[in-house]
Amino acid sequence: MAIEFMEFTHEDKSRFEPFFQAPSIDKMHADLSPTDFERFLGYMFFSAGFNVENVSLRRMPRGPGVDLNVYQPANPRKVFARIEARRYDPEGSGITLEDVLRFAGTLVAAGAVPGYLITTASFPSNARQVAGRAGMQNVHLVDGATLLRYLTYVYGSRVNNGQGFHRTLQPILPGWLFNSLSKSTRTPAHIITVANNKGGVGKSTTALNVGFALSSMGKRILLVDLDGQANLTSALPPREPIDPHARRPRRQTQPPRAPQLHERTITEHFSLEHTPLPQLVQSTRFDNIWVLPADEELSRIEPGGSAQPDAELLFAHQLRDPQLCVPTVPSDAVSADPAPPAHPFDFIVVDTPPAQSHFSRIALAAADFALVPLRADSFSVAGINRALTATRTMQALTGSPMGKGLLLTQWREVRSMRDIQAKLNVDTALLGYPMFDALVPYDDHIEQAHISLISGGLRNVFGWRASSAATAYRKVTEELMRRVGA
Amino acid sequence: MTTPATTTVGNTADKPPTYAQRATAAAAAAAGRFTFSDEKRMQAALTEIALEELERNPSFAVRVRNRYEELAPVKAARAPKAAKAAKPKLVPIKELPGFQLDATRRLDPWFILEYFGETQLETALRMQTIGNLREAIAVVEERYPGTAPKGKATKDGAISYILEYVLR
Repeated sequence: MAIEFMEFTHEDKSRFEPFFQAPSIDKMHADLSPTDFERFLGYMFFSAGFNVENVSLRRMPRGPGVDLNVYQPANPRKVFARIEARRYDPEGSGITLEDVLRFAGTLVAAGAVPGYLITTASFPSNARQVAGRAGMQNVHLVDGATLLRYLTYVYGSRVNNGQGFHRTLQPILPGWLFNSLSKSTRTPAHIITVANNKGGVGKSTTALNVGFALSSMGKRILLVDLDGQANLTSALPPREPIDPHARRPRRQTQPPRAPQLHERTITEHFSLEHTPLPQLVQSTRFDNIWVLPADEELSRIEPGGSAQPDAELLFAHQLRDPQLCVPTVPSDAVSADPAPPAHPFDFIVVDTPPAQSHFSRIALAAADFALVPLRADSFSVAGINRALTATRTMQALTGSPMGKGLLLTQWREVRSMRDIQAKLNVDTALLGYPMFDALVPYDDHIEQAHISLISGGLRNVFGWRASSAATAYRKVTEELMRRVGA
Repeated sequence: MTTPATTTVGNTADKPPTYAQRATAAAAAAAGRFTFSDEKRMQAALTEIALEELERNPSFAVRVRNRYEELAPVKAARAPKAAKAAKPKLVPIKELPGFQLDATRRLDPWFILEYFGETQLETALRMQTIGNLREAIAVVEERYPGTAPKGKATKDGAISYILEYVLR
């Protein structure tokens, strides 16, 4: 029998898209009939890059006895997964163990194809236990909360297919939904990702100065540069061998030498070599600060910002790996001292590129806290919504809690900025992205510090007693520590 | 472990020893240990070895950092400042899925009322600038034409006008 894939109209689109933009189980239950819910799930898997066949009218024994069959476009004849839709009252008794066993039996009778039982309600614990047992590995239970995660991830990962619909470039397999990142072993470090798809808002400056402020509190910091512009890297040159006999250069007559570059960069990790991250951690000229440096080649291997859940989760696991520690200095060959113990980092601060790139996504996937720098102007505020969508998308992927905060940078005491700040105080509370109390002012010391650091000097913004930016970044860091519970 | 600086430099005078005095005393103690006589040469040797050790031994670096912090000059305690009132935080009473930030959107007091409730409306209004409050007055005026305060409204005047009509 020829396979007839479901086709969707613009009427379907206008009906179903609100559930992507603002996923809500209550609204789904209120607005969709059981038949509508089946069609909506078809639309959801279509958006997620699959071809979908409605088989709800084909009952056993001649049909598969489920509602939908989904196919990967690369293999349009082989059923990839079978879907059973159950639109139940989220507050009601929900699906029973018998429902799950019946679904498992249907899957066995229909052939060894994975099946997803998707409901707006929840599953009883005995049904969940049964679904994980031997002989039932093909049975996947998707409850209302998991369905919302999948919808959120698909929404933030699609592109226009040229025919007025948004679909992911590759089918998004829902398997990741069942392996929450929060359950894995992880580093004790707090991972702070500084992200905003808009350029020039102070991402690298914020990552750098939060790093300096934390290190001045005696914390061990790993700064991760995921921006191919490598601005953060250039401010953190490697530690040069110290010659104790060298004379101190005179300030006026001997400008600092151009610093060395890091020999190894994180590009090695993402390129064909796949070098493990712990091998790429480099020391810097600053106490307590290490760096995973970037170089411009990182931009050339950028694979784009569409959905790659496996790669995104992989990086999150690697950055959270307890083996990512302060590198130990090789002990003297003649010394009998045992190697010093591996110290975990206290904080890992990740700088991201502008634009919604793969590297921004993986950095957010790993984050315990997303710090979003923002200028108080209308263009920046309009652009911030994309950054917030990216944050929600990656949080849906990992299923882990993530703190969030907006930080106003390049602040000036002018009327337009004060008006925007006041409105943001209300709107960001509603969004769940509370603003930082501290404002980072426009301060020329920031630029002077950048010049000093890039040209091999050691003076950062905290080296000026009168720097208002330094005071602000200290306050931001203290607030950040409170918010992450450090 | 006791340090040379604390064992050999007794705080005999009222003033604590200077950094130079501490360095000299430490070098003298070290030189005495080796029965060397040149204290200045010992001071240079100690500093250079410490620098090398700093590079290769993180726990040594931590000790140096701690001692550096300990040696900070003690400042006279200042009178504590009056406690600054914490900035009020708004907590929404219900969610608005799909909500987007828009700096050009007018401040709508009924929107605030719906999502933050009656008890937080005044707090949210007090956070606003007079420019934003004028926008809110215009929103109220659209529902209740001819009621807006005449002339330039003060912040307090604007807030009480908005509260009066929105909480009706």
